[in-house]
Amino acid sequence: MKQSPAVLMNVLALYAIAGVLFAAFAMQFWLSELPCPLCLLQRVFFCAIAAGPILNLRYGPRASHYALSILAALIGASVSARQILLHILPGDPGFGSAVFGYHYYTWAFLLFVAAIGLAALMLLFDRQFEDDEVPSPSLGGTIAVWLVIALVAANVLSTLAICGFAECPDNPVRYQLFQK
Amino acid sequence: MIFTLLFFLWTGVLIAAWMMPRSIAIGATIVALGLTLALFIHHISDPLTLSF
Repeated sequence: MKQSPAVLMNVLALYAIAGVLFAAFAMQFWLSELPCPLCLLQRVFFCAIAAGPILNLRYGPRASHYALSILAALIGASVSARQILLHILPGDPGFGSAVFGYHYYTWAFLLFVAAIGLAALMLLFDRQFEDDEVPSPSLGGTIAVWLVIALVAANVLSTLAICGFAECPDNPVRYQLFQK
Repeated sequence: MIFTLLFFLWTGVLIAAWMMPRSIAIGATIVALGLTLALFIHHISDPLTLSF
């Protein structure tokens, strides 16, 4: 795989991350299911995965950029695994709704593992690293970058509304910032 | 509040990844990853404050 197809794959990765962050907001606003602290931490690690693709678009594909995404996904998978284990006892209904039979944290675990696998697959293609030329960002790539950044910034406001200026509640049911 | 600051930090890191020199961007990403991991470790070592 040469540099340009690799850059395209990184653009697609950014749109996928934006899709995950958008889906999280959809569940939060349409189903009124506010994220718990562990859920927020998993969102943070989805945001962290985006650092690799953004660096790849800006400076060209490098193994170190993929490594950053793999590290973020690995720790994110650990967070999801912890939440799965908290609810593994028989009879435990789990936290939040189930989508297609799996809770959000189970989906998050699968997505983190998929991200690790995809980044490892991308590392198999050595020819993307041979070209030292810095790619000029495409319009689609620039939009993807700023879309992800906007969604991360939206999480700043959302989390401020959920937690207010205090510690985030374990099982949030209302926006603390707007409580009297 | 700590999670609000964490998202704020990552907003800055991703903007830095796009706009700042590569060495600064990578350094900022590693520091932010370390801080986020530290928060996770802090939480799992104190289960009473960690939600599900």
